[in-house]
Amino acid sequence: MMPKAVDALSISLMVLAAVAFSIGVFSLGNRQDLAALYWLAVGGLLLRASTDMLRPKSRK
Amino acid sequence: MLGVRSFDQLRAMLARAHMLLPGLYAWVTTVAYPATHRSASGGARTTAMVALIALVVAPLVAFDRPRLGRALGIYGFIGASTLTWVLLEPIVSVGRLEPIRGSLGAVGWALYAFGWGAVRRVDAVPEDDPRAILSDPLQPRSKLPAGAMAVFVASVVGALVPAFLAWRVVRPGHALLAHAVALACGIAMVVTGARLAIERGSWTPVTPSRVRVDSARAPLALVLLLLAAGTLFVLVR
Repeated sequence: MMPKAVDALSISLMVLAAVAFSIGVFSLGNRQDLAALYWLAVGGLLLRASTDMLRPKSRK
Repeated sequence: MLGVRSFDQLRAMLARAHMLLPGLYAWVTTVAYPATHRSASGGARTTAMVALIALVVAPLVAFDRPRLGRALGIYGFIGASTLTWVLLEPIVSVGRLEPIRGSLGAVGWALYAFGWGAVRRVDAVPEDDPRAILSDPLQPRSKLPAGAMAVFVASVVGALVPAFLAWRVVRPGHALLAHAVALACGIAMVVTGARLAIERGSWTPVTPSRVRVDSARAPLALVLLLLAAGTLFVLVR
């Protein structure tokens, strides 16, 4: 059950990343460059988190 | 017999139309329109006509001489269109592009790419091909996880939204940046979506959930930090 919840969380992070990217580009259209940079960075980090959660890095 | 022949002719005609019409639409919206501008040079108009000729001739020769057809219809048409845009540079500069026409042109070029793609005919059986190597059917090594298509479609939709929103940006320099950013976001979304769609379930039973969440610790912490900073910024302002 728990692994499925983590799967759902990683998919949710991907969807949130899409929303953040959209807000970022939308802000660029509204001449809000700082907000655009902010939301694009949030989107990138959310996307990175979703893939990291999918396949954890091996630890030595 | 005549009926079968007519049916084959009709099928060939439809295939040619499938190659020609999307390209014609792309040419009209993105090449012919700026090339007919009164300040367009003669060279640009000539290359626009060369592109049209290549586009129209290619489907006629594509069935008998596929290489020549492809060379004309893809390389010739795209090359001449690109040359036209280069020669029309001030007219098709970013600052003078209209969002609606640009969007329609982008759709036209996407349809053109599909028009030159080939898919198997509905009634065709690959094993009937004389060059087919017959053997036992290959079994898939694994199955896609449940909901893989839904996840992938969600990622494609997520990739398309910024691409459309980028057309809202009117400042010339920023518009180019917005399209580049939207493209990068789109690629990242589709790549991640494909991985999420396919690789879900490959963790069982070796990786505990805590390890999986823990591995995303750094980006999640940075997201939380950014969200907290953003909230604070909004509150203070």
